[in-house]
Amino acid sequence: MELRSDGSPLGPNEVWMSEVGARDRTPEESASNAALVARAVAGEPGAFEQLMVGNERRVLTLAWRLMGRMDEAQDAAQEVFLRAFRYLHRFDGRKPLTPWLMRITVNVCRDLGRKRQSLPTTFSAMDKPPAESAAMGPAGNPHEELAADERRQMLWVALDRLPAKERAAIVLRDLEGLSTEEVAALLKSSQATVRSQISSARLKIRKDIERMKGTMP
Amino acid sequence: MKCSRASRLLALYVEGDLQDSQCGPLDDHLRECGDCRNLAAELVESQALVKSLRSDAVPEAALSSVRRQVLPGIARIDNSHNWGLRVERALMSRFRPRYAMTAIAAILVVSGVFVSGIVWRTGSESIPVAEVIQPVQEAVPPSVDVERQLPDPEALEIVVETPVQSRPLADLASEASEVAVATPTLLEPRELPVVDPPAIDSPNRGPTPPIVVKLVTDDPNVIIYWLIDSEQGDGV
Repeated sequence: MELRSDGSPLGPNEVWMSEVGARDRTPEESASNAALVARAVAGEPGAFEQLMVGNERRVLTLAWRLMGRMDEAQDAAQEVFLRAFRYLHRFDGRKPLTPWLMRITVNVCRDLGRKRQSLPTTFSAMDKPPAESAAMGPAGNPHEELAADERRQMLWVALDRLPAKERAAIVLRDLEGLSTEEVAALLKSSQATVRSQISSARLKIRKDIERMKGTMP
Repeated sequence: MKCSRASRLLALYVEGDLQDSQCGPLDDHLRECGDCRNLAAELVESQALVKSLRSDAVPEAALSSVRRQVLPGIARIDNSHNWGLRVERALMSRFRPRYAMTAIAAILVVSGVFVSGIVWRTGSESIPVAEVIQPVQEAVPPSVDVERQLPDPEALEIVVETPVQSRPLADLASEASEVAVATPTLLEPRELPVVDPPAIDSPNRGPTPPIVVKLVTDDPNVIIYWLIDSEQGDGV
């Protein structure tokens, strides 16, 4: 069991908060991160910018996967960093910053999602980033690349059709690569609930993909 | 195991999210059910597609756009005069969060008690002032009612004054308290003096001051002032 510095056991949320992001960090990195947070709280210019630069890609990517639109994801990411700056003094610098920022991102996206709930949203090709990698097809083959792009579009549409809670769970589990336990902690939910949401989302996505395959030439 | 239940478990099984205790029965079912084996294969394929989205990266332009928007916003927050946040930040940066939060809570409680004490004290001090002014302001009922309220008509002294200038009610109130202290004994009844009304048709008549009638009773705490607007012609 993990313990706090005063000897008391960590809660379930704190366990993952201390694990996620810390997995790839050395003690020196943790110490420098804590020092950077302390300097940012003390108002040193540039310290927060450094923290932001180190985490902006992860925050914006998560926001984009949760919101589905790049313009809304940018708005969400801005709000995330402004909130983080405002309340950075409440953050325990001994812990990794990334999980804290991810939690803020989920909250901000949920708030923004509620506001736009009445508006119909669809994923359009403009919202997708350029295919920077050739993960879907071998480079140089236009037919394969086209097919890969169509599959990508299909997947985004399937994700967009999911209810917000199921989409958040599947994005965090399958796209962000967090464990079920970590997802549950981040969404402030039970592991059983998260498993149910993930299961339902995966079955719906499979169904959507099969249906769209049938309509594709 | 029914196929409907097996399908829900399969969605977790393909990614290793299923608990160990549930894997055995599901394996048994998969050995028997071809449809569920097909479903498992399709789920593996769709999951591979979903995970391929991990490679989609956000464009650099979007990142720099966020940075351009956030940094001026941070400067605005830094320069704002949010003293509550500043105090909280100063405390949290010097002490461990748990102790700082305790200190903030203690400060809030103490300041709340202090402010509520001031409000209570201010409120209790204002009550006697209102009690002095109130009878003076209400001293305008008709004469019949005044006589009816008096405890003893024999012990009534009515003094009619025609002040040159009207005085504020607060002065009248203080004067009333002085009179009440100075004449605590029973007064002899006497005749009411007749007051000549001002000449109504006088051409050079200016604004006529109101007539103040002071009713002194045998009760030192009860003194009634009656303000009469002589221009309206109402008699006593």
